[in-house]
Amino acid sequence: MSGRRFMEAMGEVGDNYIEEALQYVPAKSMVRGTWMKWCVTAACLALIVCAGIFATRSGKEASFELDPSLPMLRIESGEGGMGYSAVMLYDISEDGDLNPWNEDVVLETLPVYENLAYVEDVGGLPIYLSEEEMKALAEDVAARLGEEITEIELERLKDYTDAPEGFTGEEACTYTAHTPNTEIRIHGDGGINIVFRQEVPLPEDFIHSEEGILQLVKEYDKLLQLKNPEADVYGSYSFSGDCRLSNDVYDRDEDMLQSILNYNFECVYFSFDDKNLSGIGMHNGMMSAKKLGDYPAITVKEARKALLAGEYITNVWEEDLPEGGIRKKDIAKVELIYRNSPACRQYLPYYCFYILQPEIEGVTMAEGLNSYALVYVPAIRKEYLENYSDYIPFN
Amino acid sequence: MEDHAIIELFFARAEQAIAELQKKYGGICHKVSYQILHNEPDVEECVSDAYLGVWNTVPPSRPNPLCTYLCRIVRNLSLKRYHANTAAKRNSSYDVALEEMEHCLSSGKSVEEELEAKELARVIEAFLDTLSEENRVVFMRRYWFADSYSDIAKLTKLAEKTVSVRLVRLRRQLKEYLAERGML
Repeated sequence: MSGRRFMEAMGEVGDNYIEEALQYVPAKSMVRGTWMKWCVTAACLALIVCAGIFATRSGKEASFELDPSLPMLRIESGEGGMGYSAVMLYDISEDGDLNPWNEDVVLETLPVYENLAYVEDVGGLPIYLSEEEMKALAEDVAARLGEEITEIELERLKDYTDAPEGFTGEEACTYTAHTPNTEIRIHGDGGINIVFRQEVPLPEDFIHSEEGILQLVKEYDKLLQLKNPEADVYGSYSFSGDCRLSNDVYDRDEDMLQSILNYNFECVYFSFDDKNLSGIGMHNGMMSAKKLGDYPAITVKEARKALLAGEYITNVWEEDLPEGGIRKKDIAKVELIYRNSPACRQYLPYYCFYILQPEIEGVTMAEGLNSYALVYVPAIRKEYLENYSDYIPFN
Repeated sequence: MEDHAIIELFFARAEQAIAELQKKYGGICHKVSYQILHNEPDVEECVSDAYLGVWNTVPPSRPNPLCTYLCRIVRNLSLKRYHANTAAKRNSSYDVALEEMEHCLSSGKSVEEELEAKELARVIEAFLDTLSEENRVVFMRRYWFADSYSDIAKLTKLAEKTVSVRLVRLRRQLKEYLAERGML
């Protein structure tokens, strides 16, 4: 069969396929601001539903009905999960503030995704894209950089570890394309690392700040193609108070949920070596993500209530959390994030609370440095989490 | 103007019919043709011929949806012109899409063994039905509309690099689908 014959046959497909492609609008979340556009119809429906609930109420709280079309989910906190999650800062304001979500944003539902690159017993090594797909991605990146690929290397699963059941070991893991000036590494989940063979000198007046990073974004616009880039530079400290700066860039969208997804799954970062640019990293989380559904979300107020009632998940030891339980005054910050490490089977949203830790016995920190434990409350209704009671309450 | 009102103008043989058709769908017609021909004079001619095509067929037809009917005429005329322009330098989005399919589907089978276009279309439809809505739209926009990766990315809100990799995967799935049915 020739391509021409195929394309001619495409001309004979039914109107419904053409119509669907003409009328397509990507699904958006039910954000309260946009929900108002549907408020008349939705309010009527809500009244009908409420009337039904009140009619059957027997003095107890109405039970929540699961949507049978939504698969049940599982909380995970194993390898690559939360770890001993804590950050050290002199003040919480030093933490990154790039997250587009804030406490005024109310999302009726949140999408949950399956991590198609997850494979058991391979230490979090993402395996999903075929060699052909990785090649296409590498060629695209090289073209955007104006580079020509001179050599390629493909590392397969067997080069890293024994193949688990169902795998041959021949699966593609990392595709490295060599060009005169770069090494372009494509990972199994679509993640990209570009390493410059010789560090790219930065301008004399370059400062590792938001402005400096946005300048780099502009310089690499052909590669990154971000429409509304937003950047942040944030610090993290060692016990001795040494600061290490990191940066993140994402594409802000007019749709809040899309912004949140871009922030969590499609971030870009620049790596520096002294006064030079040494590399660029691009997360491509959505490339290996399959949406499971839009799940009913809980509000941050409900999450805070759950947290204060001891319903949270963390890998921080109990003795390193405030004695007697977490109180409102211990909460320094909260943000909505997705857990998206390669070791996660599913990408679930969580409210991540930063809890000011008490002094930890046996640990010496620089004067004035604080440690904040990261404590998580699932951001979707717990009725969809089939192993919720295995993890919560924590203590 | 609503589609049914435009069709009524055609039934009434009013000259205003084509003006209204052009006003409502001129943009999409131009785009569909341009993606294939990449040449303004040819595009203008094909789009004008498409309006004439509607004039000649409505009545008795009452196409619904009108846009799809018109786009199909534009596409067919544009493809005829495309293949006729053998000496012309080809530099269109359609060229790249065609080449992608050539690489994907090249087969040693003789012409006699291949299905008629309409029969093949039914098989393609069955394949499209196995896809998610998003993937179906990505596939149709690339191989029916000949949209560029950038256009598809804008429409679907996917990153452009995701679109390119997604199409690699879809072409592979198509190849497997056709092979399973003994067509490759």
